[in-house]
Amino acid sequence: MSDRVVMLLAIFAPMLAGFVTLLLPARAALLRTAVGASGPLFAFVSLLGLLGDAEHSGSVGWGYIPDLGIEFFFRSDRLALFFALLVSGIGSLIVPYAHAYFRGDAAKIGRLLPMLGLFATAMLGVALSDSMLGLFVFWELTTISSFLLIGWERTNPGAVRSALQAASITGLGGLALLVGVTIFGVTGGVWRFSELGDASMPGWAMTAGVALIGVAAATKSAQFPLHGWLPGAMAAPTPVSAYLHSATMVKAGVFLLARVVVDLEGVELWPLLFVPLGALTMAYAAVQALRGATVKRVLAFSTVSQLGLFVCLYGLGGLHPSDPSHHTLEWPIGQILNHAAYKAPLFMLAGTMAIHAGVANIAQLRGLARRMPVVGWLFIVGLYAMAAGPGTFSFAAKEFFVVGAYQATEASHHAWLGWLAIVAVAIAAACNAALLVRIGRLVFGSVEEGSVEVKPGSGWMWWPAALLLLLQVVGGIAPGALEGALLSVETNPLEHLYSTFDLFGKPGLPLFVSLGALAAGVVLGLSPLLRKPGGEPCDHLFGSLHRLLELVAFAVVSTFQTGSIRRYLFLSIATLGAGLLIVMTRDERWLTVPEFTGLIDSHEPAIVIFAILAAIFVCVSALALPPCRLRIVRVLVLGAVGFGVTMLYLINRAPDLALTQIMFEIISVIMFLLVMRMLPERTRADQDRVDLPRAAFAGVIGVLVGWAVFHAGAVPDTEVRPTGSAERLGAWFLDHAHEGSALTGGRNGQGDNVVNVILVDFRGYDTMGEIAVLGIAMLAVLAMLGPRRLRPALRSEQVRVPGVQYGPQRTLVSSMLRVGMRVIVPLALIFAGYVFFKGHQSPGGGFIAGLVASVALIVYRMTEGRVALRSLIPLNPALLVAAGLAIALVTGAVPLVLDLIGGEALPFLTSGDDKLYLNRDHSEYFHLTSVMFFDLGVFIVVVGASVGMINRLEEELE
Amino acid sequence: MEALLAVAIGILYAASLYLMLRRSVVKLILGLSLFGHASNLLILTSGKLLKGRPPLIGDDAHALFGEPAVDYADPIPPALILTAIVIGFAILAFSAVLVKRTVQEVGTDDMDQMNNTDLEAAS
Repeated sequence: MSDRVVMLLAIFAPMLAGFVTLLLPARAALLRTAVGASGPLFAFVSLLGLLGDAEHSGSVGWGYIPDLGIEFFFRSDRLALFFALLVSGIGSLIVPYAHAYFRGDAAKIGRLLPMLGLFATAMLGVALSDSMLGLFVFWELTTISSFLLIGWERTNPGAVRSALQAASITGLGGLALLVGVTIFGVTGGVWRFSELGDASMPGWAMTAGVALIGVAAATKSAQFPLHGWLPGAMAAPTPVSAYLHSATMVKAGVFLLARVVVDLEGVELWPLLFVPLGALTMAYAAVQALRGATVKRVLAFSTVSQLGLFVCLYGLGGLHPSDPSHHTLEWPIGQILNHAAYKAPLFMLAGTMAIHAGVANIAQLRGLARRMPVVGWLFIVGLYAMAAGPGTFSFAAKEFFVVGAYQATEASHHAWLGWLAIVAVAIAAACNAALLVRIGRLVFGSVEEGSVEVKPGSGWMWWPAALLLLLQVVGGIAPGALEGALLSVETNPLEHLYSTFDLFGKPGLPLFVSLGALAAGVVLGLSPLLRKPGGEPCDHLFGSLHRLLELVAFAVVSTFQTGSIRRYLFLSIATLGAGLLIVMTRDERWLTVPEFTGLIDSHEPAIVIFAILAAIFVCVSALALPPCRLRIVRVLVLGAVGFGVTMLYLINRAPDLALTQIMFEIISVIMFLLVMRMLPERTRADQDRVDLPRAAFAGVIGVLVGWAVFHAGAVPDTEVRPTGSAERLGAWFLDHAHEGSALTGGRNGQGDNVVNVILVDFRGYDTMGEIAVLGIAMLAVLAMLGPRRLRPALRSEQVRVPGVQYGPQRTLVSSMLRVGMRVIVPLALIFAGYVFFKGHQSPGGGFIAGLVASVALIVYRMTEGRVALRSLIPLNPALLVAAGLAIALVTGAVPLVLDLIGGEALPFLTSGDDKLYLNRDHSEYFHLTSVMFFDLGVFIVVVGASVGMINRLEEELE
Repeated sequence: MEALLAVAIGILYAASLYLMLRRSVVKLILGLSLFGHASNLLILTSGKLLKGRPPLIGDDAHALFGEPAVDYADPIPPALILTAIVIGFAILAFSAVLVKRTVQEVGTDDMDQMNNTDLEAAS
């Protein structure tokens, strides 16, 4: 199996296993646990197999949209494998522990396992992703699963708040990560971490990218002052706290830094950002841990402190000591392993105490060594490791951190950062030692009256913890046993590991700092200082920010989202107008009256007179519309505006537009006449007085837009087309209209009507969407009007007075109109056919033909009635629309399958054509083009939609 | 010609905005219709009103390849506007019937009483 398949399976195995548990019998808790644990275990074992080749691992995976950097590539180098093994290894231990923690409660276990599986998959994805965007996706997935797990107690408002806080903060960090990697991708062209070292990016992009990745790491790894979510996350069940919020997820930020440190440590900002951030977090959180009231809070803050140490460590990696044989970044992975090997057991033991002895607060730990000897002793061992006591793996780890920081003080610049790190680690070490002393005194103290020995419920409650703690002891005393395994994953390995005894043989400032801090810690632990449990200022930071955000949001909403449509319209238009005004005032040319070339020199006088008349007609009708009160007058004036606009189209050489507009105008007038009859007339809202402020506003906007058009029109042609007409898009279409979209095929003889060729051939997709809109509008109209309700008397049309000519609506219909229409309607339909077939060569086409036919049919409907129309077109108009759309779609799809009949497959809506010669000497011919079928679809949709709508509206009045 | 159209466009926009900002929903759809005309004319003008023939190229136009086609009006604005007219009509029909239904359901044609999605509150 190739590496990429192994990695893909390993990543998704935990999620799949977690989801499979949902299919198992609800009561089979043990079976569910076994299946749930098999996922991470499988990942662990299969990834171990890749460890041998870690040195030579490449980037393997699958592309998705490689041009945009969207791909899923994985890498199994030492860092990735270490982190993945940590995630899957601890995951395999956590699942059985969770089973014991919930005492086999099938419902709770059943709920937990899919979430844990999802989380493990997300973390494995973060670890193994080489694509930056892939890592981002998995990164966000960890946020989501963490949100679900923190909000475990769905009815507890505190837990829900904590879940929200964690999701908001780490989610914002995820956005920062996305922007950061996008900057790298766009400016440097790299979308994979493995290529980051080769990318050349402008300085600002490097700085911005580093800063944004720093934000992401700081949120995920709970750095000051964004750490508030991590103590809050302790609302989750203890197995979750042990897994997500101490061993794995919170290390994702640190992992991200480890991923990029080698490539980015040359950036000036790197050490300046991360060393102070980490040092501050390390010292501050250690002090807060000492003041914590509950066991989990203490452990959470000590985790924050340790995360600060990691960030500080990777920050120091950016400082290069003057002596190149020294490196400040020694043992970067061992540090992470060390922390996982004592913090996860501490959390597990805390959970055990809480479940079996009811211990939640520090004060309740009194006498634990007698009540639960195994758990109590293991807890103390864990705390001893946390305090970096001699003889533990942790001691060596802390020692190397101090050594690295000490070497950083010899760096060529920013040497003070090394000292800062040493001071911070000393404070943190002292606090941890003090914690050990205080808790130790409680645990071994006298038992309270009445409390009895409690036995841990199951071995699973303590032995995973003991196993991990064993690592600490072996690593501290006889590291040779672990050397092979550890050095194989270390990215910057020393030659061999050091035990405590080796380190005691190397006296110097680092050893002095470690031991001095320990001694100071013991004194601090015995002293009355920092004893009073209390909260910390950042506890309320998020709450306050959240309330502030809410206040701002409410203010914004109550200003803008008033529910008043008029207000929305006003705000939108005013914003647009203000934008236009700003643009105009910034350029002096807008403020001058443009030199105007005049009307006369470019057009024949007759046309000019016609144009002026048409413009006056449009303006007068438009201005007359607002004061109109009678609805019939309104509709007619509105129609007048439309006819004026039609004239303007005609004058400006757009015959297709003029034809379309005039047909739509006729249908619109009829439609409005019908709708207006159903609307109330002369209501209070309708007959209000002249609204001067709004009139003024509308006038200002009109003047602004008019002024802009005026100026745009005055720009000379030379400025519009500086390099000649061939550069213009319109000219391109004029040149290529005869070829159509099948440009490569060398066909010619497409349409002469360039507008129609653009519509049905070049921009066929647009037209396709357009007829779909028309059809949807018609369906919506039918839906809004509901099923038709015809009055029985009218249906049978029985009530008639002899000798009187009745229309379909029992209204009088002019006989002249009726008789006239009997002649005109067939002629109009024939004309529609003519327009349809000539459309590709002269003004016309499917749209216009459809409209001509629609107008004829609508008039026929008005004079002859519903039944007559029904007998003429026996189809449901909605069916017509569907049929038209289907015809257009099928026509478009034919080129796709041309290869089936021996041709070459062409893109959707490619058209072809030929000349159909009508005589021998080839002087008479007819253009036969495949777009005609597309146009037929358009025609049918237009007829179906417009006739269907008007017909339905008329029915409403019958 | 551009100046003439500029005046017409400005007046059309002013009239349509004034209508749409009034209280009556009936005026809203009237304004919407005018708004469509104004925008279509704006597109037409922004494409430069070339003096020339309509964009109908005859058979003799084969000889035209490679030569500047200044004799023809720009075909793109009409193509865009044609689409806009059809969509505009669809929207107009939809909103007209929507207004009819709304007035029927809510029992008023006053936009200021339509600022709530709950029927009870509006009536």
